[in-house]
Amino acid sequence: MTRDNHKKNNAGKCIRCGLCMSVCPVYQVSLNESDVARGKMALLEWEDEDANIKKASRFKESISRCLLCGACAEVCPNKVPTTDCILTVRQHIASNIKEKLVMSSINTLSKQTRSGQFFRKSSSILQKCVGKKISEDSGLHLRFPLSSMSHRKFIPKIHPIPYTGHYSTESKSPIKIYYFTGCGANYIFNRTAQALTDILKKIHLTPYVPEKQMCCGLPFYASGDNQQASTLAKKNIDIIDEIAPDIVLTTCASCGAQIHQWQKILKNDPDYHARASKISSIHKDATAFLLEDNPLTNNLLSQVHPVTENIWYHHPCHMRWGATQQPVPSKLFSSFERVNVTYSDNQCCGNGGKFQISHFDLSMKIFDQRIDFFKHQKIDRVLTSCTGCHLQFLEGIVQNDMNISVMHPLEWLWNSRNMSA
Amino acid sequence: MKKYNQSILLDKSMLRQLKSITGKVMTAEADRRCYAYDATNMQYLPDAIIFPENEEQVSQILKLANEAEFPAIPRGAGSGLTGGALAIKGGLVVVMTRMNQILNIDMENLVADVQPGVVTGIFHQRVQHLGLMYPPDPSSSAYSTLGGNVAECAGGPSAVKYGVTRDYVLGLNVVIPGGTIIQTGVRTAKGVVGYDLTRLITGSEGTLGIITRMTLKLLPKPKCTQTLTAFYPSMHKAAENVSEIIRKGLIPKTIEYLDHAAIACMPKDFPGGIPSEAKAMLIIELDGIQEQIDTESTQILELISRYQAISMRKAENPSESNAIWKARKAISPALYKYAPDKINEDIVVPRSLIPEFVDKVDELRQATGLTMITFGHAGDGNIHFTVMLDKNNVEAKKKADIVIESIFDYTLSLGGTLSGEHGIGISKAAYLEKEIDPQTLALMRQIKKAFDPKGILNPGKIFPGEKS
Repeated sequence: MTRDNHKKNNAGKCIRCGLCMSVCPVYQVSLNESDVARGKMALLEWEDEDANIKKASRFKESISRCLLCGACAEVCPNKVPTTDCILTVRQHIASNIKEKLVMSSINTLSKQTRSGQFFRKSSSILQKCVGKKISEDSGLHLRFPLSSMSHRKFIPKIHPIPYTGHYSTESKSPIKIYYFTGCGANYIFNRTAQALTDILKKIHLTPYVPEKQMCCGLPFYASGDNQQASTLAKKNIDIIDEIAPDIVLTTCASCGAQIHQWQKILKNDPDYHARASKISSIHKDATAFLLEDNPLTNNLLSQVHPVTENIWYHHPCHMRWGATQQPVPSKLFSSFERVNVTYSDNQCCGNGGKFQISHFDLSMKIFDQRIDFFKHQKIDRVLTSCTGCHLQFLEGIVQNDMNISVMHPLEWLWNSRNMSA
Repeated sequence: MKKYNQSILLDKSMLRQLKSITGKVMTAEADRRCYAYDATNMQYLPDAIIFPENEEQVSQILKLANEAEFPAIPRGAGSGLTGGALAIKGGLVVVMTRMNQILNIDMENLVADVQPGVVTGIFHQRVQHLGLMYPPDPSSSAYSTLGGNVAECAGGPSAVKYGVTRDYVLGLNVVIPGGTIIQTGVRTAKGVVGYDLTRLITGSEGTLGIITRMTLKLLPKPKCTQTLTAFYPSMHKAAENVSEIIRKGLIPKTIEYLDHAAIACMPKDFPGGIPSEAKAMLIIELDGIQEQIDTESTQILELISRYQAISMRKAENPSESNAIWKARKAISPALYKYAPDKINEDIVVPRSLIPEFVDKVDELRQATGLTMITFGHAGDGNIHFTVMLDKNNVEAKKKADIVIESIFDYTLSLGGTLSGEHGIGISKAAYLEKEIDPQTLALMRQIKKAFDPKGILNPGKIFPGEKS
């Protein structure tokens, strides 16, 4: 590659200004240059000089210590596609090394220490119940691999029947809505899915929720398994196009962001690429969709049921940065006079999907930055619309012995308002 | 990448001794690569990296370095623009970011005690919450550290009214080579006891000692701010206008100027739009109480219209002000649209002579055909003179070197100085003798020797002829 192309396209464009240090959640707790984007870009330039570096464990470790939150790419004055650079290396590592990052991260994990008691669940119990219920292709398997080795205290209950399994796909709505549940709402947080469909029903809309819909593929994509990510993207595109919806809704910010990645993953397949970009153009976050100026939802939001509580609204990174960025849904809370909402739109929760498994202590350190505030402000409830963030808050709250409930904003809306009126 | 063979002095037993001080020393090549650069994008591999957590550890590190005579290079966020934090002779990089506590904010006396690793932007937020202000605001403040700011005497856009970092440093704790801890300065507004070592160390670029604690002066935070923008048909008109504003006794917090090449880097949605015939632009910010800034805005707008501005605008709300400043801060990086490499100098000329300087740049631009941009702090005469080029283009590089040399000569002939806020480091060491006469330079070398007789602390910086 000529120097110009190199400079234009990848890590070589990084001028080491250091601005990424001001936003990187990992760097801000570790204070290690190898954790921040410009350090990683320096390592990638080194890789250009010497391909064997990829095998160096210290190099792999650095590449794995990234949440892929996208903040650095967003603020980068020279527009270095930092997350893409890291994903590309992860792909190389994943395809070159059989065990892939997942395994190496589990190895890292077994060496980790966190003061306090380690909660070790028998893997077999969990794997038996999780393994049978969750589709083989779901990224949740990456989120909960051999949980016995984890120091995690929160083990999610897997719902007896996946949401898509018992939801009818008949629809007579004036607009065709496709609800992409994602594995979180499908297998764990069924109430989120239920809340959305119930609210939609209230405004006379029935979404399509086909049972055969697949995992969005993000956990695989983030681990460098592009093959599985593109297989899942294609299957999803086929299923969506079968219905030919007007709108695709998600209740998980990460699934939403991944839907926007499909076109990039499928860039070498013109047909799928075109279909993927069509789908990303009709995708909307469900909460944002409901808050659009629409007489039916306006009517819903005007039914005030005051509850006194202190809410922490956590804006997921996939809504703060990149193609799916959007403002915090302040309209959701505007009519609740007795609800005090703190909007958190500048702090990553530290989950980063598999990052939480491979770098548990670091992940919790990032999370713990908000604990003092939670205690001080007596936060009762956390609302967030991303499966990763949701799981992270559940874990972090248990780790800190706190009593705070966590839910999707739409579930909260559905619970707190008397919509049957 | 410049490589030095692993220093013989930092051998295994030495690394073990260092490790016994802090518990951890990094030596893996991956880590050394990540501490080889700073914002100059030059690279020099250090032999090892250490992260002291308190003053005592810094003292032990410098004691060892002095005994074994290996280079020790203090580093904050590594966001400097002249190579101050680079291990150009290898050695041990001493990273101060783990000493990042705000120790005390004294609301009665408006002073704060801080450790050097505190990020400047975080400190700004903390004091602002208390209704106070720490004025030095380099554009790197979101990630640079207070220790680095003091070591380089960082400036920023508000120097015209509030001065620079050195005006806010009251006292320091400093570890000097050999490990001795010295305390300089006072905690009061006044103080004339002994030599002013605080001022000597501020801006000494980590060559005299490692700062471990700073006592900083704070101000009450002004209640309101107002941003004004104006476009001019020529740089002369803009500069004359600046002089007139200040002559009238109006001292804005900030007066920034942009030439036409910098204006071309502004975003299309800039508040109020950008007139196509604009050749220069001023961004003026006032702060104070509401009535005062209202009166001053009116006076300044009146002066602007008298100086034939093409258009002018008073920002209507904070979000408009933010958009203006965001556009201003984005210029420097946006310049890469012109070429892949940047040479950036931060010369200062007397404020009234900015038009002459800009004429000189036009002349050089025409003579060489190089892309040159000037923008900066018109209020204090600090100009960011930038050449954009491809350094692989040998001819362009040669021309740029000549341009820089003549820019420096011209700056000095106007009564200016080679660096307003970035420091000398290694980038400008070769030019130091243009400004500093031999006798003064000799005294400076003696001062360095008094602090660091063996030359182990940040070697090769500032002084010419010591780079290799």
